[in-house]
Amino acid sequence: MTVSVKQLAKQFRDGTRAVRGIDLDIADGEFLTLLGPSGCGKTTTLRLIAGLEEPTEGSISINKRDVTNIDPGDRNVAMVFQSYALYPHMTALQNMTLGLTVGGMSKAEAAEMARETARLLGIEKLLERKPAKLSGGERQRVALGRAMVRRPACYLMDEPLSNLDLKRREHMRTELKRLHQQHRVTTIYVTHDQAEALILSDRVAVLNEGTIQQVADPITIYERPANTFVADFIGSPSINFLNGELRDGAAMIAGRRLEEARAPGSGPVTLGVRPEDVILEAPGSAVIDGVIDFTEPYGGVVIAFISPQNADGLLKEREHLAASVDVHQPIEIGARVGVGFRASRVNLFDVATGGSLLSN
Amino acid sequence: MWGMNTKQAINLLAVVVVILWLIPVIWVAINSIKPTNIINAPIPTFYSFTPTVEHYIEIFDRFQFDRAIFNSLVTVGVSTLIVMILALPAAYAVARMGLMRGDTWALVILSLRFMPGVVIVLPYFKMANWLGIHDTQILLIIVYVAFGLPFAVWILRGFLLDLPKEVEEAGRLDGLGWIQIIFRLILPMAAPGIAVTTIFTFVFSWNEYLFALFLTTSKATTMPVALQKTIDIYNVLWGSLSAGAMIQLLPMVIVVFLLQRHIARGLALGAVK
Ligand SMILES: Nc1ncnc2c1ncn2[C@@H]1O[C@H](COP(=O)(O)OP(=O)(O)OP(=O)(O)O)[C@@H](O)[C@H]1O
Ligand SMILES: [Mg+2]
Repeated sequence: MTVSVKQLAKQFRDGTRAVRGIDLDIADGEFLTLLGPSGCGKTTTLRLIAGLEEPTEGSISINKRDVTNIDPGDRNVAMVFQSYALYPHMTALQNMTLGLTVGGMSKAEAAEMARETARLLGIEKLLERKPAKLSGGERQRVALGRAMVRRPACYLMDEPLSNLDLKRREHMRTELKRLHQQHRVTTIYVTHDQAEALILSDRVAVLNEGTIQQVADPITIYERPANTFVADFIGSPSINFLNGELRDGAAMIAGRRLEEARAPGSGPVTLGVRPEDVILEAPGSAVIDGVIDFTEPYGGVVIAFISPQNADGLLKEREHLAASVDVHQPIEIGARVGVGFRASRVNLFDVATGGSLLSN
Repeated sequence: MWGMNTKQAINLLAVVVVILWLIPVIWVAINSIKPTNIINAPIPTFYSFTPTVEHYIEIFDRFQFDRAIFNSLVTVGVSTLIVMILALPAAYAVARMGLMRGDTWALVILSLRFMPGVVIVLPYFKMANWLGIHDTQILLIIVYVAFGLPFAVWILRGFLLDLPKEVEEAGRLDGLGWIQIIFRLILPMAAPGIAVTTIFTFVFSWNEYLFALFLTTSKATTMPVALQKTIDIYNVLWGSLSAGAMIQLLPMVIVVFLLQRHIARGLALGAVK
C-alpha cells in the first residue's frame, strides 16, 4: 500500500519547528528509511504519519485515502517503538492479540494468528511470558510480532534495533530484511545508523533540520550525494572535502586537472572524495605529495590519515586526508607518499550552497 | 558500636523507633482489656490482671458503637469509591491530555488541602442546615469527596506521569478508544498507585474528626466522634475509649498487612516524580 506525504510540517507548542515541509511518496511494498542526525525530525515525521501528532500543515494519505484527520487506530498502520512499548501487564500472546480482538476478531482466531506470526519470528515458546521476563531481543521480537500480526497497510519503525547489542542488531537487521523481502509490506523505518539504512532500504530519505536533503536508493545516496550535508553524513570514515577550481568544465586541484571530474561553469568548487577513491602512489608521481601521520585499522582495510605537503588550503574542514588502503598493502607511519584520486568518482559541490554540481 | 556493622545498627535503630511508636498503641490495647477497677490504679500494671471484654461490650451497649462503625464504613467507603472513580479520569486528563498544563494548577489543587478545617466548617454547617441534610451520611460523603478528590488527583497524577506514554500510544494504534485505554492499559499499569491513593483517601476520611463532629449529632455519627463521647465532663472512661480506639485501628492494620507490598512499591514509584 502506498503512503504519500505532502508539505508536511509540525511546529510544537513551544515553537520548535521539528518538521518543515516534507514531501514523500512511498510505493507499495517499498522499504523507505528516514535517516538523519539526532533531532532532525525523524521521530516526529513518523508520529505524524501514525497520527500520534497533529500536523501544523500538510496532508498524509495512505493508499490514496486522505488520513490527515483520522484517528491512529483507523489508519491501519502499525508502529514499532524504540522502547518497544509492550503492554507490561499482558503476556506476549495478549500483547499480540489485543489489536485483533479490539477489532472484533474472536479470541481463538486471534490467538491462532498470533501463534502463526510467533512461529515466523521464533518466539512461539515465549508467548505465555510477560515482557518483564523477556530479554531485550525477545521483547523486540514480540513488539515486531504485535505489529505484524495485524497485517497493517504499513509498518512504522522508530529505531527498533537501537536497544540491542551489536551482534543481535546485525542479526535482527538481516531478519528484518528477510521478512520484508518475503512479505513486501510497505515500511517506513527511522534510524540514525547509516549502515542500517543503506543495508535495509529500497530508498533512503536523508533529513536535516526538518527538511529532506535527498531521497534516493542507497547506492546513489552514497555515490552521488545531493549536497555536502548528505556526502558528509553518509559514509564511515567520512568523505574528504577538498578546495578546487572549475576550469573549462573540469575540476583542478593543486594545479592538476582531473579530466573526468566534470561540471559546467568555472570558479572555486568543493570536491568530495571518498577515502576509497584516494589512491596512494610513489611520491612525486601523483596529484600531490603527503606524509602519513597515523592510521586506523578497520578490519579489511586500514585508513591512512595523510598531511598534504606544499598544498596549503587544499583540505576543507579537516586536517587530514583519509585514504582507505587494503590491509595487506604495506604502509608506514611517517612515510612520504603520492596521492591521486579516482576522478570519475569525485563529487563536485557548489562552494556557496553545498549543492551537487553533477548532472546525474 | 559494640562490634555492629552499619546495617545492624540501622536495624537496631529501626526496632527502637518502632517500639517507641508502638508503646502508646500497646498501652491502649492493654487498657482495652483491663478491668475498670485497676485501669485507674496509681501504679499501672501491664500484665498482672485478668483480661476482660467488658469494655468491648460496653462500647456497643452504651455508646452505640455498632451504628458508628456502620456510619464510618458507609461514609468513608462510599466517599472513597466516588473519589477514586472521579480521580482517575481527572488525573489522566491532567497528566496526559494537556488539561491544566504545568505544575501551577497542581499547586492550586493541592493548596485546597492547606485550608484549615475550622475556617470552613461553620459555613458547611450553615449550608447543611439550609439544605436540611445536617446529621446525614450524605453530608459527610459530600464533604469527604470534596476534600479527598483534589488530593487523590494530585497523587494519581504523579503515578500516571510515571507510566510510559508509548504504551498508551501503542494502544491507540491498536485501535483502543480512550475508555479502553483507561480500563485495559492504565488501570492495570497504575494498580500500585491506585492502591496507595485509595488507602490514603480512605485513611484520611476514616480518621477525620472535626467535620464529623460539627456536621453530625447522633444519626450519622462516625467512630472518631463516637469515641469522644466516652469522655464526659466528669470522667474519662478509659476502658471504653481504648476498646473503641482498637476497633478504629483494626481496618488500618488489616489494609496495611494485605497491601504492604503494593504500598511500598507504590510509594517508591510515586517518589520518582
Ligand atoms: N513534544 C515535543 N515538544 C517540543 N519539541 C519537541 C517535541 N518532540 C520533539 N521535539 C523537538 O523536535 C525536534 C525533532 O525531534 P525528533 O524527536 O523528531 O528528532 P529525531 O530525529 O527523532 O531525533 P533522535 O535521533 O534523537 O531520535 C527536536 O528538536 C526535539 O527537541
Ligand atoms: Mg527519534
